[in-house]
Amino acid sequence: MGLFLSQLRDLWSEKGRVGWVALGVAWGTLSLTLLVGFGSSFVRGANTTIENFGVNLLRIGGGATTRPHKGMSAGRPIRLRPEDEPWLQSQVPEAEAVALEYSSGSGNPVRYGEQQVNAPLSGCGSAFLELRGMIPQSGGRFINAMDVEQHRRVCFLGHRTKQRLFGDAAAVGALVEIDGAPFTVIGVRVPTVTVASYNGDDRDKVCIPHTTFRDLRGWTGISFLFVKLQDPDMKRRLIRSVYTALGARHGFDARDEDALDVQDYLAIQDMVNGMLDGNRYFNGIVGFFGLLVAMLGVMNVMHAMVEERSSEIGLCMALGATPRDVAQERVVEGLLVTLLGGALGLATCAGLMALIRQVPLEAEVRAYLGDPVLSMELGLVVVLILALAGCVAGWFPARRAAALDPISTLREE
Amino acid sequence: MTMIEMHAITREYSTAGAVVRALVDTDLTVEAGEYVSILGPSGSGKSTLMHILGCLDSPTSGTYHFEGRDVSRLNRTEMAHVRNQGIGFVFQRFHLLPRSTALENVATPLRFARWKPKRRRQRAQDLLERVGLADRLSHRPAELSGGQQQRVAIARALAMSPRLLLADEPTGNLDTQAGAEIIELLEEVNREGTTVMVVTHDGALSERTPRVVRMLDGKIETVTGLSR
Repeated sequence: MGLFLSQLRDLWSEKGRVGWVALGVAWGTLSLTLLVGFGSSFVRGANTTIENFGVNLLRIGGGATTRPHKGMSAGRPIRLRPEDEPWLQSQVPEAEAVALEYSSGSGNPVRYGEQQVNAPLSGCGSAFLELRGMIPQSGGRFINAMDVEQHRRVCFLGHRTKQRLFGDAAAVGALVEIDGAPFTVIGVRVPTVTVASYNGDDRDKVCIPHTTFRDLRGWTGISFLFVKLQDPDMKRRLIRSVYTALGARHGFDARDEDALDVQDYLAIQDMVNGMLDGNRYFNGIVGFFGLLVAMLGVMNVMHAMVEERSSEIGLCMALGATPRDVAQERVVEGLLVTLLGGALGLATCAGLMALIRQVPLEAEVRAYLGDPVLSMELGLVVVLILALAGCVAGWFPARRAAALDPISTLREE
Repeated sequence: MTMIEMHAITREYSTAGAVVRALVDTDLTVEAGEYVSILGPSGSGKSTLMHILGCLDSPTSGTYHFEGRDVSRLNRTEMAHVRNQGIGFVFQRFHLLPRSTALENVATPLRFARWKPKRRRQRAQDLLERVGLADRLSHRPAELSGGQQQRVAIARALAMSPRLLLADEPTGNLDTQAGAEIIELLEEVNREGTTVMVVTHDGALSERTPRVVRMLDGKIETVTGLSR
């Protein structure tokens, strides 16, 4: 304890130089924890936008044939039908789930009292809850099998449409008009940003049971079939199976790629994951060099600090300090300075991240920025590495001074 | 009892390609409890002799026995213990730790001897009272006069109750009054049984020591007075 206090006092008397070492450690710790904190947060955010849309999905729409098939000419449009959903489910074992959707773009009037918005409209089933991440806010629910079976006039609102119609007031239980018909709001989607969108933004989308949609609009054909893969590696095989199954049903050649419009969300998913991997490597390289620069800075100043005090080391040796005492004092000194700097860096990082979490940002920016949090484990590892560098840099000149006769270093003064 | 026994001690330094012989073939024996002054002009080897006596420097050749132990056979840790427990050294330029108070400076050798903080504080305080600095405990060296700094240095040298006190021109940087006080202090320490050896240019100081070693060109020229 005596040694510790004496070292603290010694350090305090060298505030300037100690400040530079501590600042070096603080800077190294701060930049690395910020880099990793934001990097991880970006990865989490990007993954969340993928999960919000739905993972391992293919969206199948109708296309037009380009090959004659069984006496039918090329150029024939393919219209998908509701019955394709159970058919595909039974014919494609690689699919974990299949769900149909009627989708109408952004021009569908939705009214609540005096408020009216034009929103994208989706006719879907209960499978969308899992498949497309239609997670309701508390107090509400998504469309269920009974709603579909009984053609109920219920709707599930995207959170931005809800906000535009209701503001901060509760929406669940309220009656809205869609295409002039009354619908009961059964739920509101949690605020989300998705990695992809089609026929309007998910945050605006209004979902109703697909049976009700068909009643309302009289559509005979569906817009899309969503297929979720059990195993992303089976994608090629699954697509072949889809073409074969639907080709047999709609009368087109299974090799005719344009007969269907296949939107591959797995490819988007892979692209984002590739970018995230690149980001990880980049962060790793920048972090490594940042740590290296901080280490060199700390080592340089610690080395100079101990070199300058070699006459004091000689004096302590003259008064009976053993080489071990000398080395120990330098190690304690190095530890104190680096721990001080490390604590400063970690505290600053935690403060900055807390501040950033409070800053009001656009939902899209927030979705990718995420909520950065301080990685205490990483911070401690960085402080430990810098502490080790500081101790080593102080220990070597101290050991050299301690290996000389005390008078050699005293004479230098 | 023989405290110091030096035989054929030579100390050479290499400077800019030339070898300087600071001490040549020196023999010296000092009994426990003696009060010895070492006189000689600058460059005569007085300080080098004192540094070797205080185990602060190693001879190039020859043997040095301190209290019967061959110092050249000790490792660095054992040497540190001899410097800590057996020998107190007072430097001409005081050599106090600039960032430490008078109390902490005096307590430094006690710290290396692993004394408990409370006990070493009490011991350092007693010693500073003894050298007349009871009111300067918390002062740093820069806040003390030359005489006061030298008294702190003597208190520090006495901290571990050494059997041998070496003082290298302890009055060299002091005015007459302060120098006289230091001389009285050294005599008092010797009267209490500590062997004291003082390097000095001061004739008045050497006249008060029973034994005088005169040096010239790295050799002991004469030794007057008898060893007890």
